[in-house]
Amino acid sequence: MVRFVPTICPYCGAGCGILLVAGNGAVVDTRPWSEHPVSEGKLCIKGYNAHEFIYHPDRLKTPLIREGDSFNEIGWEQAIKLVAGKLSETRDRNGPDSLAFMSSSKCTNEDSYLLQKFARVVIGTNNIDQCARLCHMSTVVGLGAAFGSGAMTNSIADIEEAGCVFIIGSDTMSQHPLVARRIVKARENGARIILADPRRIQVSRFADMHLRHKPGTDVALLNGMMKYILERGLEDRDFISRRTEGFEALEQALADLSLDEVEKITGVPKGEIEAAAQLYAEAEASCIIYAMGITQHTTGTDNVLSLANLAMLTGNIGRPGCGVNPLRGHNNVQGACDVGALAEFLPGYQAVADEQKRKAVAQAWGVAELPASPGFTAVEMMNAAVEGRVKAMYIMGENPMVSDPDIGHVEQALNALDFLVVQDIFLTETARLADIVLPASSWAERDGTFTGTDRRVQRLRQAAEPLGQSRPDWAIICELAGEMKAGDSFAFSSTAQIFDEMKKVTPQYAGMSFARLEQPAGLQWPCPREDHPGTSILHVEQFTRGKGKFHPVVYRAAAENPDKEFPFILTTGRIMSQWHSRSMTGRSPTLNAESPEGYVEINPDDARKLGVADRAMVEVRSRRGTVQTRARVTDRVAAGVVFMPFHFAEAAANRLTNAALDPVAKIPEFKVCAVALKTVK
Amino acid sequence: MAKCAEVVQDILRGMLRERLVDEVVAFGRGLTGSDILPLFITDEQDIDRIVTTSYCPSSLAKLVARYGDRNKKMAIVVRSCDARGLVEIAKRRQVKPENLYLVGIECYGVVREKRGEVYIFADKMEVDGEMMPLDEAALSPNCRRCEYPVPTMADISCRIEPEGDCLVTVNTEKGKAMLATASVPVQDAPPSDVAAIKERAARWQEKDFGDIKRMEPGERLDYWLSQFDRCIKCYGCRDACPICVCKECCLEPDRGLIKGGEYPPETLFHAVRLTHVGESCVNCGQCEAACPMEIPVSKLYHMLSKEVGSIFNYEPGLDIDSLPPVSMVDEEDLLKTGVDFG
Repeated sequence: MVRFVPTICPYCGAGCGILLVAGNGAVVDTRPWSEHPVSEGKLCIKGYNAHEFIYHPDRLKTPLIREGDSFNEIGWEQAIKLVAGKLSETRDRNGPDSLAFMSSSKCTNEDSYLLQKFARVVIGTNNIDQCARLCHMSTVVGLGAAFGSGAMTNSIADIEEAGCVFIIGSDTMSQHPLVARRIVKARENGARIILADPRRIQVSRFADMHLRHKPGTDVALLNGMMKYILERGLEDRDFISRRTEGFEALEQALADLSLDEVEKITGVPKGEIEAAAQLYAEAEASCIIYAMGITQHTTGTDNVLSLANLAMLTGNIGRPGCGVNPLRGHNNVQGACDVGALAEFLPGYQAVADEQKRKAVAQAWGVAELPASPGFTAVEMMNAAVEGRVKAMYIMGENPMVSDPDIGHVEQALNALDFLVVQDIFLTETARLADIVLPASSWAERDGTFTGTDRRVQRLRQAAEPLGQSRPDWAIICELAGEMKAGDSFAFSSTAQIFDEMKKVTPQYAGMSFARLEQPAGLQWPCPREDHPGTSILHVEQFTRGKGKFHPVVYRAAAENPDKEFPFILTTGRIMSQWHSRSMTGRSPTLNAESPEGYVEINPDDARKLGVADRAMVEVRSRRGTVQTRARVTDRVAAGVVFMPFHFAEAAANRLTNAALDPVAKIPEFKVCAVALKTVK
Repeated sequence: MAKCAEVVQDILRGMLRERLVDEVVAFGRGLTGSDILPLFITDEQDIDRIVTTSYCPSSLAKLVARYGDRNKKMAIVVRSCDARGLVEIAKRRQVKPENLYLVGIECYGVVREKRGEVYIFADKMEVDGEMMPLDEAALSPNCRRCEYPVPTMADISCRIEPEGDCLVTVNTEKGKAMLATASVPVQDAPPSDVAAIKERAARWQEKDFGDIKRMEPGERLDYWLSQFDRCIKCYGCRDACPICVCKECCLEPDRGLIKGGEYPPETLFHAVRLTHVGESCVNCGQCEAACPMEIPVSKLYHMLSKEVGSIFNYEPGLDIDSLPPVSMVDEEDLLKTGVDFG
C-alpha cells in the first residue's frame, strides 16, 4: 500500500507542491500535487524525479571522523562531544569571530534559524552566511533600498495577468519551469514577451523580441530603455509624483545618455532597445522577471536598482501582472534570508548594527547581548580563512568546493582551517575536506518549512524515517548547543516549536503557525497577525519604505574584461536537469542521464577560428585556473562569448570565475570573466 | 454537500470489511476539505475520506499499474476513462482483471481548474452547493470531447442525480457480490441519456480536430512544431499516461534515440509518444493536465486514436478481448486500407 504525502519540491525557489509516494517505510516515487497553487498538478523533470537521490548508496548514515586521508565511522555521542569541544576551544582561544558558519538555502527555515541563533548566541559571532550571498544578495540589498523589501513584489500566478513580460537574465524555461508556464499562459492571453539575454535560450523561441546584450551591460541597456521612455513621454507622471522620490536625480543622470552609446556598449541595435521600451511602457501591466543574470555581477546591486527604476518610472508596481520579480534559486533561499542566516541581518532583515533591534532580539532569546558588527559574508569567510583570521568553520548543507567562485582559493581556505565540520546528506567535495562529517536526514525525511520565491511559507511533511543514523539538521544543532551548556536556549523537540519562537523575532512571519500553514497554499509574507490572510502583492497602497526611491545608476564595466591574452567572455549558469554541485542530481539516475558531463558552448564563428570541432576537448583558461571540457559548437552563444554550466566538479567553471565582489551586496561576479580557449591535442 | 459519496463509501466499506478486496483505490480528501489526493486504503476508517466530486487529479489506472500489487484484490472507484485505461493495460498484462473490482461513477466531465466543490451533470453543474447551467468552458478539454459518460466496463455503476440521489446498477456477476455486503438498494435505473453527451462530444471533436484538419499540411506541421517548441522534456505526459507502461522507455537518453540534455527535444520525441499510445489513447486528458508548458497533447493523441480507430474499427478501452490494431493488423488489413506494398 502506498501513501501520497504532500510536501514541497527540494530544488528551485518556485516552491512547487509534490506528492511523495511512500510505501513500505520508504519513498518510492514523486507525483504532481494538483491542489498546489504554484504547480497545479504539473512539475518539471527535477520535480518529477525529486525522490531519486534519497536512497543512493552514497547517503551518509553515520558520523565520520578524519583519519589521515580517509574517514572512520564514529558514534553520535562522540561526534557531538568532539565538535562541541573544538568549537569551544577555538572560541576561547581565538575569540568568537575566529569561527564561521555557513547555513544553507537547501535546509529548512527552522534549520537556518537555529544555526544563526547558535552562531550568535552560543559562539557570539555574526559570521553566519549562506549561498543567498552568491545568488540574490543584490536583490535583497537593491530592492530593499528602492522599495523597502528585498523580495519578489508579486506572485507567480499573477504573471498570467501581465500585458508585457520582460525577462532579463533568467533562463526561466530551464531554471524555473513552473514560472515559465505562467509566461506561456500570459502569452496565450495576449501578452507580449521581451527577452534580454546574451544566450539564445528556449524562451527566445516564442518571445516577441530577443535583445541579445553583452554580458555585464545590463545597466546600460536599462538606462537606454528609460532614456527612450522619458524622451517619448511614456513615463507614469502620476505614479512618480504620488508614490516615489528621487525622480529628478534619475532624470538628470539620464539627460546626457545617448542611445548610440548604449548600442555600442550593449551590442543591441538602438531600434530594438526603443521597441522594447515602447512595449514595456505601453502595456497595461508589465512584469519584470529576472534571476542570476542580473544579480551575479560586481554591478549586481546597480542592475537591480535599474530594474526598480524602470518599474517605478512606468508605474508598474503594486498591481496584478506587474512588479519586479526576482526568481530565487534554491527552494529556501528566500527563507534562509528571512530567518537571519546572513552576516549583517538578524531574523526579519533587522540589521545587527541597529542597537534597538539587536536588543529586542537578544531579549526574546533571553541573552544579555548579541554581537553588533556585521560578520564575514560567504566569500569573505574564505578570504579570512586564508589569512588565518577564521580558524574553524561549520558548513551545513553547502558545497562551496563546487558552487563558490574561484574554488582553487576555496580549497586553500578550507585546508588552512584548524577545524572543519560539514553536515550534509552526502560526502560532497567540501565534506571530503572536513575533520568531522555529520549525517543529516534528507528533506523527505522531515518536517519544517520552506519559503518560496513569492514569499510563500510552506510546510514540508515527513514521508519516511531518517535513513541510518542521520538526523534533521535542527536536531543536531540542538544537541551541540546542549553539549556546549546552552541547552536552555535550544530546548526544542519539534520544528513547530522552533517556528513558534522564530515568528516572534521575524516580523514578516508573526501571524503564521504550523496550524495555519496546513493549507496547500501556505501563507505569503508579510503576515503580521493571526487573522491576516498573507500578502500576494507587495507595495499596493504604499511601498514598504513609504515612497519608492529612484537610485540613478551609471554604467560600470565588469571587473574583468576580455583582452589579448584572455579574449573571450565566460558566462556561467545552470542547466535543466542538473542542480548546483550535483550532490543530489548527480545521484538521481534520470536527471544525471540527461546531461552527465560538463561542456562549454562556443559560437560557430569562434569555433572555426580556433579550429574547434563540436564535441572536441578544449582547454578553458582564466587568470585563476584551467579546466578541460567538451566543446558544444552552437549559436546559442554570440561570438566572443562562451558559456559553461557550473555543476560539474571535474570541469568546474568555478575554477575560472572571478571572486570580485559587488561593493554593497558582496555577491561575486559569476557571470563575467575573461578566458582563453585552445584545443586539446 | 457531498453527493452519493456515502453510498460509494458504504459499498467499499462492506467490501473491505468482508475481505472481498484487500485494498481500495479512490480519490479522497487530503490536507484540507478542498485538497483531493489519490488514496490507497486498507483501513475501513479511511473510507469516509473518499469523495465523488468532479475533479480527478490523476489517472487511477496509472497509479494502480505503478503502485498496486497485481496479486492483491483491489476495489477501484473509476470513471469511464479510468476503467478504459485499466482495460487497455489489462490487455498489456499490467493488471489482472480478475483481481479488479470496479465501482464506476457516471461522469459528465471533470474540471481542470478547481473552483470549489464541483459536480458536473449532463446539462448543469453544482458549485459549492449552488446549481447552475453547465459552463462547458470549465470542463477539462478532453472531457468535452468524451462520448463515454457511463462506465459500462465497471462491475457496478453509480449515477449521481442532481438532487443527490445515487442510482446503482449492476453490470456483472462480480458486481452482484460487491453489493451483497452493502445496505444499498440496487435500482432499476432508467438508462442514462447519453445522446446529449454524444452530441456535445461530436461538437467539440469537430471543433478541436476540425480546426487542425482544415489546415494546409504545412500549416498543420508548423502548428504542432510551434507547440513542441515549448517542450522541456519533463516526461510528465508519459508518466501521467495510463497506456505508457514500459519499464524501459526508448525516449530516455541512454537508449540513443533522443539526445539527452537538449530542449526542446527533437520532434521525434513527440512522434514516438504518438505512435506508442495513439492507437490506445482513452482520452483521459492526464498528459495534457500534467504538461507544464500547456501543450495540447491530449488533443493530438485523441485525434490520432479516432483516426486509427475508424480505419481498424477499434475503440480502445471498451472490450478486453479486442486487441489493439498494432498487435492484430496483418498485410491483408493494410491492403484493405489502401496501403500499397508495391
